[in-house]
Amino acid sequence: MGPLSGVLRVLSSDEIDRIHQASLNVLERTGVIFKSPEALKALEEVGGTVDYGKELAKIPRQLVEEALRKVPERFMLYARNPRYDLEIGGGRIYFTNGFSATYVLDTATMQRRLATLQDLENLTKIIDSLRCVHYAITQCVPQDVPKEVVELYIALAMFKNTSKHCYPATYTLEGARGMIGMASILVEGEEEFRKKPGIVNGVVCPTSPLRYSTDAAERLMEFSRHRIPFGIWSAPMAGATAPATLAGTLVVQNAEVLAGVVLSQTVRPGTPLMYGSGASIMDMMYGTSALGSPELGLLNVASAQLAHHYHLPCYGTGGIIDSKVPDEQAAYECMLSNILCALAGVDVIHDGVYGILESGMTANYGQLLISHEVVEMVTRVVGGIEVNDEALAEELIGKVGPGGDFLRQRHTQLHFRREHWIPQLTDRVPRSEWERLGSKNILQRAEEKAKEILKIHVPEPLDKDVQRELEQFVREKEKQLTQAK
Amino acid sequence: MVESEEIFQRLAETITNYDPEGAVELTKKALTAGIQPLKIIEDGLAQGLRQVGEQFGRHELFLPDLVMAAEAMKAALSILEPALVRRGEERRLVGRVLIGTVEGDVHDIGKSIVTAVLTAGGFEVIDLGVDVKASAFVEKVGELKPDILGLSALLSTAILKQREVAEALTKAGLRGKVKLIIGGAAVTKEWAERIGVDGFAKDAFEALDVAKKLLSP
Repeated sequence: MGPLSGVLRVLSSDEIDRIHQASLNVLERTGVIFKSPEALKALEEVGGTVDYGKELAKIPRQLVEEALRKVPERFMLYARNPRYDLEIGGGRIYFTNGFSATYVLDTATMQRRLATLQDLENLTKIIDSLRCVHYAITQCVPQDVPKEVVELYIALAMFKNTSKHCYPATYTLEGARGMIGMASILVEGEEEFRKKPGIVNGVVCPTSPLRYSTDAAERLMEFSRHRIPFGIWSAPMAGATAPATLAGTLVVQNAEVLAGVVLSQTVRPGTPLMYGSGASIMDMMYGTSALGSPELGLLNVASAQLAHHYHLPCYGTGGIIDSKVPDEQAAYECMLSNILCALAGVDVIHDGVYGILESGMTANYGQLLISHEVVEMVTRVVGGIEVNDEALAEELIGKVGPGGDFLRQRHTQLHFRREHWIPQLTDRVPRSEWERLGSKNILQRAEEKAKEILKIHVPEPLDKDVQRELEQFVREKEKQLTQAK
Repeated sequence: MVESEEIFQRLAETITNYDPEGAVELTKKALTAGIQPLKIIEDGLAQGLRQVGEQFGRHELFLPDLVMAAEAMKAALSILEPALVRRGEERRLVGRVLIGTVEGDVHDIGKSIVTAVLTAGGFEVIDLGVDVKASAFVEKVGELKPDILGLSALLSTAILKQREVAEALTKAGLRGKVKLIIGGAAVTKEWAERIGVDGFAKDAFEALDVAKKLLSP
């Protein structure tokens, strides 16, 4: 049967339709808040019913249907090195690393400290070396650079340390514009950038339930104007920012995403989009968001079905960890949502190679490598089982015969590399060897591997002139913005 | 001389290419050309095997590669050994190992891996197969005079046969002439001590270590 991405379903087609109809009703009758007069005006012009006082737009269903027809089913994300270009929506699934930690947990002391620019550079460099991270997102947000220009420092650190496609985090319109300016420098000119806006991508998050903040709405419109591909990542928490029921949570998410689809296709038809989900539940004992939960996994499978129902690529969330330390809980949480997302055929599994603890707060170098190992395993599972004459090996079985030895066969030597996943960190060594190597656990081995990568891995360097120009861009913006204060 | 340099290189390559037919063919050619059998092994084939062993040690190659290289080596040696005997030459070996799975147990793979690892480590390994009777082990020890006898057992009931082999060797007056190593999933250090063998290994890599230690002067 071959690749298994997309085999997992949790909703029947009737159930998908009921969620679809319910969210259309919500958009028509309840509406969505956009804290941006420009967004409201754009929606009003195409036929939305807008209440400027309440900042609310009610969106009729035909607008949704029209918008969905305009979104491309697939699109390209470009990388500095074309070897890493990705076609999104073409049936292959991709993983990113984790997103936006504030702290770093030092494995040696198990103490938490603020993340630094050096951490972002280091972690991006490690990410550059990991084969299952298909494109890089902002692993941590440096806390040692001026807040006014943090987005520019992030873009610079990422462009420098990986030649893979990047999504440098932006939080404000100003930051997004700065990042876009830097992306233009990266592709050596605005004209080039107009041809290849997919050199970067963005993510826009509605604030559940049913709201787009000023920053979210403005960034959504800015990305659309430039045709920069982006994900609309809706993350309602069942029981808090959405109904406690998972179906109700999907209705809220679906309405939010569809509202964003309408706005973007109104601003610029044909802007490539991804249907994003980070929907989960709130822990009813502590009021925390439970992102390592089985519900997040289920909601992501449902989201893949909804996205594909609309012929949109799905930007799902897998691999998230609630545990405070890189322990057994971290491992099983990371595995569960990743495997569910992958089998559901989520096109881009945001956070997959997570490397972050406590629901997004704290990055950990060792955990990054452990999460990568999880994604490697998941990737093998999705590869499925190939059945053909060579694989069935009937002739070979006859030749070796009862009681024979398949290890000493050419067929074995030819096929094991493709058929078997070969682990990098997972412990399978004989006990004697394990003891000789210091009886280390996975975290110790992962931490050593991270150090080794930092020592030996050299990302493809930026063109010297491009780097100089990028650095100058950041310096000038910093001067303008910090002096203005 | 240049020519023979080249042939040694090519002999080594038959091993690194896991090519038993090529190894046999080229070995025959080298013998016809009058190259000493010992040189064919040591300057040619064994170099290839060492290379594979080193790459295996660096995790660049895997067990099937190691086993296939050992198979190619074995194919060439089957031609070379009669030639060595004729010339009264002997290979410089780390040691000669006789290995087999004891009576009542037909598990083969672990022993194959030990064989490959020891071969790559410079030992000559003679594999007696599976379900080998104590009397057969004794007979072969008398005949082939190995430095080490390795007894494999996976089943917990089969380990009793390891003791039987040790006792049979003693009875035949051979126990002092061969180092006895036991291994396999069911074997423990405590068992090894109880039946008084010389070495104990839980896996192929430990087996190589133990074998080397037992033979070091």
